[in-house]
Amino acid sequence: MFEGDVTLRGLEATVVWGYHTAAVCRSWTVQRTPQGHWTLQAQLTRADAFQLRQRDLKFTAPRIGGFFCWPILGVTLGDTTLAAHLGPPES
Amino acid sequence: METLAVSRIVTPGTTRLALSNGDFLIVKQRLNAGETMDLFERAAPDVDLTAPGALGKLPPARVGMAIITAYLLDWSLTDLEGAVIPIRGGSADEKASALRLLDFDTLIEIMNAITAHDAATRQEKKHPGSASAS
Repeated sequence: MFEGDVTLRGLEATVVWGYHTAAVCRSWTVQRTPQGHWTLQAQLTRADAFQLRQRDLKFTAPRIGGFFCWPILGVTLGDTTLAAHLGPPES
Repeated sequence: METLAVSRIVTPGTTRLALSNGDFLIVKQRLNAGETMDLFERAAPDVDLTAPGALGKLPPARVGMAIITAYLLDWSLTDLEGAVIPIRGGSADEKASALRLLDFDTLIEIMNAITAHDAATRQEKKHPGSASAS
């Protein structure tokens, strides 16, 4: 889906654990490094710290015709921010 | 002998229930404690369900709608233009509003599918490995 350096930005997005909404983001930036690593930086509207510690979290952001979706490999939660390492985007 | 760890946290899984004419429901595999307490509150507010005979006095329509809205996450049902009627992420009240717009036979079909799933899930919890997949 993506090649080379990539930076995506958006407003509304969510981190989901199954059907639960673990966090709601009001702005976010996803970047892909030249080495192919994906990272997320987000400003939060709300978050559930317990749910954000669970496995199989996904970051989902709306796009035209559907959603971007990345698996979350690791999360660092701040007071109003969230940083995460992501896996490759899922189609 | 190795002992497998058992988590008491309910992982939020989903499953698909088939309806007639190729339609389907996406429902929670299993309710967690909070969702179950919400179901009780919607089905029988202010009723002590542990009191003798309390379960027999519950209004069936109210209990049925409470079970449906507790489990239901999404569906394939469409409006007259063929667009899926949006319920994903909606509150129990919003889902109930959408359900009230359906024809009664469809509502009963949904209620039967979800109550059967609920019964199978609870049977599986009592006797792991005994229930068939729904």
